[in-house]
Amino acid sequence: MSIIECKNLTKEYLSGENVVVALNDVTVSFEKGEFVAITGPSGSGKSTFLHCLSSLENATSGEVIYNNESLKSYNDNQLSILRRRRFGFVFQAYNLVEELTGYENILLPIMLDKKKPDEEYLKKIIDILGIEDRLSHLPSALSGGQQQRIAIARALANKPTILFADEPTGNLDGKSGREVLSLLKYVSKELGVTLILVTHDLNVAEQADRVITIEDGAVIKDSKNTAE
Amino acid sequence: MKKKKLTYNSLALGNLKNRKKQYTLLIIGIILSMTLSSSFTFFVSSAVSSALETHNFLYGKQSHIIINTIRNEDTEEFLKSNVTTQGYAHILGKITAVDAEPNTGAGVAWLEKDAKDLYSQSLIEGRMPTAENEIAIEKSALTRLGIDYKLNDKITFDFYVQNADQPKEKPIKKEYTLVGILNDKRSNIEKQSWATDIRIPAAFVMDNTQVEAGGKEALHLLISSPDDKFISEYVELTRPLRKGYYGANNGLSWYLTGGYEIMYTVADTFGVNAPYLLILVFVAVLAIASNIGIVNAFSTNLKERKKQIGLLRSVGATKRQIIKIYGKETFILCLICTPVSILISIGAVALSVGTFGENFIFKPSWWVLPLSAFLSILIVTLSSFIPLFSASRITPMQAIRNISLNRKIKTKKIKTQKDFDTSKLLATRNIKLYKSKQVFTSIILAIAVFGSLFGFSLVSGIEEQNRSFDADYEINSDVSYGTRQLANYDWIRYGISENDVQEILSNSFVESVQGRKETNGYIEVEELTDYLKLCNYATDVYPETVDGVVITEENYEKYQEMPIENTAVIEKADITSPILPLDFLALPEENFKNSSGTVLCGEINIEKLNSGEEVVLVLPKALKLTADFNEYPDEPFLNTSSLYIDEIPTDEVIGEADNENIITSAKLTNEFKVGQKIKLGWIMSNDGNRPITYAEEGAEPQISQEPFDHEKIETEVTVGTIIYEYSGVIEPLFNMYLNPCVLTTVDGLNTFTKNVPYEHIEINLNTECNDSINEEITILLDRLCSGESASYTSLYEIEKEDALSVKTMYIIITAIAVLLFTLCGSMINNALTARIRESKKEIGTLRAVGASTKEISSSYIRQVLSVLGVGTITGVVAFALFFTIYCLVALSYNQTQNDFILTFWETLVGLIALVIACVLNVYLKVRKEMKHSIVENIREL
Repeated sequence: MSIIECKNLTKEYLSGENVVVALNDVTVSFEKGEFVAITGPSGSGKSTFLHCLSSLENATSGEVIYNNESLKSYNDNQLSILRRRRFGFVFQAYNLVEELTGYENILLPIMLDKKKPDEEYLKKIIDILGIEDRLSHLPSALSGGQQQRIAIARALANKPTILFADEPTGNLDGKSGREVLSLLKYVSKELGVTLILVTHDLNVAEQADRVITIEDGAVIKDSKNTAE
Repeated sequence: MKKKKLTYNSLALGNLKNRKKQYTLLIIGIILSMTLSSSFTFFVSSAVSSALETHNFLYGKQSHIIINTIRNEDTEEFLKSNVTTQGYAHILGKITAVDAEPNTGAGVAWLEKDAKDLYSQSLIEGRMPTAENEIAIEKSALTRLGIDYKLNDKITFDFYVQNADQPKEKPIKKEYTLVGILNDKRSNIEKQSWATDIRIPAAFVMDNTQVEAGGKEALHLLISSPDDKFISEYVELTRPLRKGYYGANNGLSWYLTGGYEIMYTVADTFGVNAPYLLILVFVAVLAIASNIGIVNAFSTNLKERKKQIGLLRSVGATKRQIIKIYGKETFILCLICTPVSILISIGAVALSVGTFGENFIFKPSWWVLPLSAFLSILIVTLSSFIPLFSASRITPMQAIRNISLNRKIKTKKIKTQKDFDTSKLLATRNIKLYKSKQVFTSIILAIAVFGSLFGFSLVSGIEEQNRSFDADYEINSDVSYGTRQLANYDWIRYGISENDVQEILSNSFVESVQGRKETNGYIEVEELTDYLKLCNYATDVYPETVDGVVITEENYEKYQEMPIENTAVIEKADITSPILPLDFLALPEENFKNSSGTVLCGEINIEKLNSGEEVVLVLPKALKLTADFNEYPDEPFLNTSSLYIDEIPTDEVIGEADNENIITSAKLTNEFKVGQKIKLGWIMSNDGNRPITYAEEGAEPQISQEPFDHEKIETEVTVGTIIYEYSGVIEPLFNMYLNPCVLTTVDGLNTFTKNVPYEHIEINLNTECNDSINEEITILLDRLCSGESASYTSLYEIEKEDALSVKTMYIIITAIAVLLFTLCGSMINNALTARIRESKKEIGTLRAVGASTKEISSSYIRQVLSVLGVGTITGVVAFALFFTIYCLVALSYNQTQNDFILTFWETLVGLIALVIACVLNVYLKVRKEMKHSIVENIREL
């Protein structure tokens, strides 16, 4: 059963007077608990695909269906609630709120939802990510890897069903990158979260259950990984 | 492709072009600040010009008019080297209506060219005379002459030909054609100098007209800006020339006191000292505020561009080059902002001056424009340099990675919150981390709040204190009654007579006329006791010793010789008994009705006062003679003072020193008794001169051998009441300070003699006064006071002026408050727009993790509110402190402060408007960012 799917997703940009087609009629569905890597060369539209799928960006046409419900009918407020309750995001540039400490950044989606944090659950994530001693620091006092771990913890804090990750290791050195990726994999498996990850790194893609390759805005290949 | 040369100019222009939006805000901030300062330069300059124009229109440009001067080579030479502008008025005589009182007339003259320029004559209608027997007359002079004028009417006047210093006593008939009506000068000069001087001309004939046969013209000299040294030198120069020319009775200095010193100041003309003081204070505040505003605008702009500066530094730009690039930008901004803000200022001041009254015109001096431009450029340049220098000190990495901010953040102690409201936490964290960015705005807002509270409370205080008069008009005699003078000469009997009062009462708008009379008289006594000798120093007889204390001219502080003229009057009026010269004061009945708080002996019986049967004596219960060893231990000064009842010393105290080393030497008791019959007397002289002569100028006066034309009125009355405590305590009753005197009602005094003019009159109307009634009444009063040594005051006009003055202050303070609040708004807007732009990525992140528009905008709105809150609280606390200190200082002087009446609503309205504007602006800005997709927000620019 698919947790999220997109039908005929098209995204066009205006660049001067020219129309650039970033996504061209993409139809894909994702299963619950799946780890999907989206790859492709630079400018192929893989990030745009992730953004449209995760409602960070509106598609020009087509629709995204989450839990059998089209997101087209959602207003801005409903989309905000969806993002904080059901989706988690990990960005290449970490995107932590500079003025909040590590722990506050993690709590952000829970607090926005005006819920009580599940301390035990949070402790578990923090333990897994190994960031307990960095929680009281502001992001500017953390290394890239540490910031990305905080970002992952924040993405998972509200027990999302889907974790979207856009080049999460892109800004990290090889060792940190590998660590972050294995953490992502481990956590998503452990918590039963669907992980949709954009990467141009084939080594990263190899570790996914399924690899979707995009080129010129279209899916050119959608294959299951059997290596594992 | 044509390559453009990369210069500082092109870099600066490129910056301006590419960052239009950011620069628009900066430009608005600068223009607002510049407009603040240049508006006030224009305003103050216009105020000064208006005051001068009005002054010149009302009084002429001359600073002095020297009456009846001399003109010869020596004086011309002296004037040439001492006075820049001077001119002569040739006085040919005076005119009155046929058979009218001589003192109601107008002086006739022609002015030389320079005098015309100084006198600034202006025609209401018609033209100046160009032929013989043509005349132009000032408007109010026509009213005084009682002429129902029409241009080109042939009018016959009584013409008193000038005979050197004075017109002849007998007039001739002369016919003139009225060709012009002039704006008033004479009556304005007269009102301003509180003097009635018919010698200032008000009727003008053709140039070079010769004085009538048998007469001799007088010359008045009009000069501009001489000083005291000039006057004294001129006196010395003309003294020998005058001797024997104008007659022995007319001393030279007498003429010079006829010169009018006209001080022109802004406040004099508008009668609004307080607003101009306020302006000065506010101009200083505004200069600081606009400076802070511009510094802030530049800081915000440069902080936003830190990265750009870092990049330039990383590619090798030196600090000097960075300053040059941004300095060029500043210069270009000045070129854009200076003319715009000056144009706005000119427009705003030109449009608003009308509200300050009809005399206020927009006429800034020529130098105000370059000065304003120079000041604006100077302020902008100086203000821009502060952030520019700090920006140039940034290292490339600091700029690119925003390290300085990170460093700052690291030093802050941040406590992690485990349960929070996101928008609240973000707002408080932002304020904590970026405190310095908010300081300027808070300071300006605190100034605005303080200024607004201060200004509006002060104006409310002034409004409350505005004179509220019991009467609509007042007439005051210009003659001062010397308490040491015994006779009432005819010249001090000019003034408003009973007939004049009847005429005022016959006006249909007049409800009542109440007046006060004052005259010089005496009480005949059997013997001048020590008490009488010392209770009024006009007696001229002092006891040699009082209880062993020797009184001499040297040691008695109040010792004054009786004027020889009193001795002369006593001799010529054949007064043989001892007398106590005293003031006689007659008050309206109303003043006697409440005698509470006054210590008196006997009861005031108004009927008996009115009938002249009784009088009230105002004489202290006792006097004490004291010797002051404090300042002069060896030769103590003696003094007398009247005593309150409870201060009268017991006999034991006499001879003992008090704390201040003052010994009470003697006690003298009032010997008058209620019911006692006393003889009162007045000397009414029909002569203009005193019964004394001077052998030569400057010599000691001697009793004249000439007969003294006078009337002696004597009457016997009963002492109905004695008022003992007349200092301070009596004030509530009579609303005036009283010397020892004989007191009665006006009707009472009239039973003795009606020949005493009113010294002070209050007129009440039976209806609310308005401009047309005021005009009618002032024409009447103008005529009655003319030539009568009296001047009237329209209290209606004063109240109107007061109201206008308060209105002016309200407008000024409102304008300043609006400008300051707008400046705050602009600064907050600037800072937050920059902050929101800086936080684009943060907004995107928050949206990505599920924050709604409401939560994000609420975080920024909280920041705005906290900046506004801090500024407001600081301003309010500062004002509360100031107000408390002011009250305490007033209390320490035993006064209740009533300069300020606390008023908050104007400031509250300003704050509410500011809050609404800022909140709305932030909300719209956040909404605008939210219209972009999250990805657009997050994407690094």
